Amino acid sequence: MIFKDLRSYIDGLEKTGDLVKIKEQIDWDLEVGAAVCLSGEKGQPAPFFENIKGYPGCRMVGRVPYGSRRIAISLGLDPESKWPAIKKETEERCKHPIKPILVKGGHCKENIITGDDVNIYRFPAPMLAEGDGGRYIGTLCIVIIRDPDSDWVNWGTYRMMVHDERHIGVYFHRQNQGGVLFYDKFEPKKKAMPMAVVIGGDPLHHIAAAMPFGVGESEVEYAGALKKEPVELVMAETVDIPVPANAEIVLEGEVLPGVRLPEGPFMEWTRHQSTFTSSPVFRLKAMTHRNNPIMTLGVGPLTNDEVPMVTIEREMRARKFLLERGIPVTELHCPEPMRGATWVVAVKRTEEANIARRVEHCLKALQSGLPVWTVVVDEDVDVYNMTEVLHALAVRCHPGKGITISENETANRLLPYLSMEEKMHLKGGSVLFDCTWPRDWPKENIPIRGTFREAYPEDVKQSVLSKWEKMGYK
Amino acid sequence: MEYQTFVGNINELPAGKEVELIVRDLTPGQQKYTSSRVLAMLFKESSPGSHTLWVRGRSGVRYSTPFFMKIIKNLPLIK
Repeated sequence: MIFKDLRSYIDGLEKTGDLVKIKEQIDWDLEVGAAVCLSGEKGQPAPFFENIKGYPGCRMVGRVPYGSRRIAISLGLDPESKWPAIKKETEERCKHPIKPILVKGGHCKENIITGDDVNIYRFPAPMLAEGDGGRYIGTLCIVIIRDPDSDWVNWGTYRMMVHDERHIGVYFHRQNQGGVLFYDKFEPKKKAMPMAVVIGGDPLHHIAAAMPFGVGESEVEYAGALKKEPVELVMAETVDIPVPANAEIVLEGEVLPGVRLPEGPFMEWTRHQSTFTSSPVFRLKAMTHRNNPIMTLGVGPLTNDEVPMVTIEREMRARKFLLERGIPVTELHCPEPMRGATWVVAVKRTEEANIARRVEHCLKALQSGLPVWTVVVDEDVDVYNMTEVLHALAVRCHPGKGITISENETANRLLPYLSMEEKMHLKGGSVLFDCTWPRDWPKENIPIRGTFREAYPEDVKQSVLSKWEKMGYK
Repeated sequence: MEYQTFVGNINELPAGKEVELIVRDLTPGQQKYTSSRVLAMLFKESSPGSHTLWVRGRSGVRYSTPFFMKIIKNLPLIK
């Protein structure tokens, strides 16, 4: 079953035990962030806060749709679905984008606030972590911008920090796709850029918005593909931008030209505080919202299995890209604790000696500044099993011949180990770990791995399995 | 009242001189963390009528000792 909106999804998650509704009062000032973090670290269900100090009627939900169970549920799949199956289903659905439809009204218009009443402090934008630059209204949000030169409407996800009642900093930088692309078309002409922002959208809308599809591709059509039906859009009140009719909160306004204010630091996806920046400023013109609105929070606790939704598209796109270039990739994965900075890629054995190097080059071509670590393994290594990946790194990667360090590479400025100078100039490095057996070794020289599956003849395995329970095991 | 500001280098803050700063209000309540632009005089020691100004580095870590600030003028946040 695919849920019709965020509310029905939250109810669905509660029924499967993947979310808890919390009546205990909680403070938007650090407590919410701390509770989301701890619930993730302890492997507890996602928190839905129904009683926020000073904000009666407003609610917040954290860690959705993060983690394979909650992502599977958002897609209408069995909660027990494994990550490869979720990816496969997503890939299949994304082959058939569905155009949205424009409707006359929607839940997001239950309350329309314009003029002097516009004030972002009507919503409990949380202070998420000690040392953050301010309250973040936009973490898991959908930023909607219309290309001034075409009919392309882009959905993206950018962090947004409250400055005052009507001004919000937006973290656009050169390594984000849409935001800078569009802002560069408005700002030189000293024109403000119209923008709408959804806080608390349909989970599949958030998944589509977080996926970095290509230039000219409309995330809203992929959101339709994921939902298997057209997304219903309604026009915003004060800007010429269509927004999802079932959104909880919609902010409308424009990004001012020639204005920068300090924004950040922010506890980023690296789970380290990024440095503060000088960022463009969004001026609010209108706000619309559902009754008792629900805000979504993009806090990804440091866990082993809380896979972020953006990983689906990254892996899907990379696999396609590698296959199109003749690389016999069998599986690839961004292991969660390594936060998208590391890719593990399994390849079939071919005659090509430098296949690992080619894998690394292709991945770097896909995303500016990432990956930092590329681990290439033979296809017998399960890329989803960190024990097998670490084992391969330890015993299959030659410390002299298997590791290639590249300097003077483009860096992702959010990586905490970079110096200030490196962050400013996007200077970094990367490392390739080639854990594949050398291509010039005859097959007979490749050692057998000592696992039950690989190191024993079939009859011995069957014999042991048949005695397993008699041996006292389950 | 208490405020905070973020700096790349604490030596950028000159005590005894007028300086233009973006500060964030730490007064508890709905407006906590609001940004404002001020022209202020900074001091190393507290004096009557001065506000506490906590200083944080680029990555949000707070310096252990605050400055003290007298606001000379509130300026528009957006110039």
